[in-house]
Amino acid sequence: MSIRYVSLAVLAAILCAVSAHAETARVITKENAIREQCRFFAPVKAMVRYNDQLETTEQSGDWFKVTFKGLEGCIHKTAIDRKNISLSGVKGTEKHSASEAEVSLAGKGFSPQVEGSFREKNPGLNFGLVDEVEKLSVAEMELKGFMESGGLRLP
Amino acid sequence: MKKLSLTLFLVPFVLLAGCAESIKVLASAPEYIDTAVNVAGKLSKAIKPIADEEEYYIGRAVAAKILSSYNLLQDPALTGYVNLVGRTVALRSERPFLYGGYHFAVLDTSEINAFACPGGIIFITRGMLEIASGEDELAAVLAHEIAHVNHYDGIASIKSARWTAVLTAVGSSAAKQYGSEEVSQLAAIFDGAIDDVVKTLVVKGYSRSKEYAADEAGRMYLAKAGYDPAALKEFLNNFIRKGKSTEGGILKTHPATAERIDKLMANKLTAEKPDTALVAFRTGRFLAALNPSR
Repeated sequence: MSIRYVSLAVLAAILCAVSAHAETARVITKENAIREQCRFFAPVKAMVRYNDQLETTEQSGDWFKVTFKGLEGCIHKTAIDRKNISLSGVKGTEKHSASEAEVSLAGKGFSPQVEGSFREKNPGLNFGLVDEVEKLSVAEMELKGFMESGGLRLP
Repeated sequence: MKKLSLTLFLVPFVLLAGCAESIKVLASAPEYIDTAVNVAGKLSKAIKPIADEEEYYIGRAVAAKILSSYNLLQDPALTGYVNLVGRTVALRSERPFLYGGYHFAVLDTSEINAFACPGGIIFITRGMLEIASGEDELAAVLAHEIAHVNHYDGIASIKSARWTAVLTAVGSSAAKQYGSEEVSQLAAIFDGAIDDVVKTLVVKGYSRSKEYAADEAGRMYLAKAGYDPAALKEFLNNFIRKGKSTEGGILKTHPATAERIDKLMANKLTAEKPDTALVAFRTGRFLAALNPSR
């Protein structure tokens, strides 16, 4: 009887260990930073780009502790997607119709290719101006200084 | 007994070999259960049926359409300042990071308005800037627009039939590149989706409930950032005091100003009283950015 309990305890411990195991996540912003601490403006350890794969080890508020190319650091939860990204590779899913997640994860409905076609059909639209707007960047230290000088709270 | 020992010995190996994959499958199980129900119906109810990347491309096209009706103000100093205020607020929103990030620009028109394109491009008109009496009020206007982006209000204005059409066009394919026929179909759907958003932003406006929700969320962002959470109310009061016309611009697409003030008054937010010296400093830099010759 006691062996039974021991075996159940071992099983539970292993399941816990496995569930706490690192999960893969992918970066969903064009660019982002892995930071030394889990807060905005913390020193940057590495830059990551869209679709880079990270290992998440722990959640700390709105941040995840992650490993990327052997470096450990933090990334904000809104910069990554922790869903299983290889849906088509999971057995038994081939015959399902597309789910929201599949559409979302595939992320292919409206893509650069589709924008290209849209632009060809709408030559009057000036995407160059949109690019100009997107080029406006604010340096992190400038933003921090702006907040501090204005008596605003640093996040 | 021997059998049990062997089982105990083998359990870790079996689990370690198979658990990771099983847990992946289990974790995604609800999604597969969901697929059994009517996808189109579900998508129509979904707030966000698309990825951030797609939201970004929709936003770019919406911005291009808006820029076909308005000129971009060519004032790098003022635009830079508006970006500093906007990004300060955006960091306090539910989505501080978007696929393409937040970008703020000024439209060169006396019309009083602001537009939040899905994906993070936010326009404010010169007329709107001139109504604001200080940085906190500008932050309030931008906070309201950031809330629309965070709430996916633009995306939600796209007709649900278009999502069904996307599904029909792409199926469950995860291919990166499509054939010309699929691209053509998707571009036509994309065109329709952009029109839906632009019509809502420029002509119809969002529902009252969405506007009030954006007011409330914006106020929270302001409070978290250290701006005066009452600044939106002050801005709206200013608007009335300055006797601006009730035709066109923001008043065409937003609930009556007095109603918004009443709502904001009704939902009191406990926040520290703003430091008047700091507010004055921020107002000074706002005025300097708006009119550098002062």
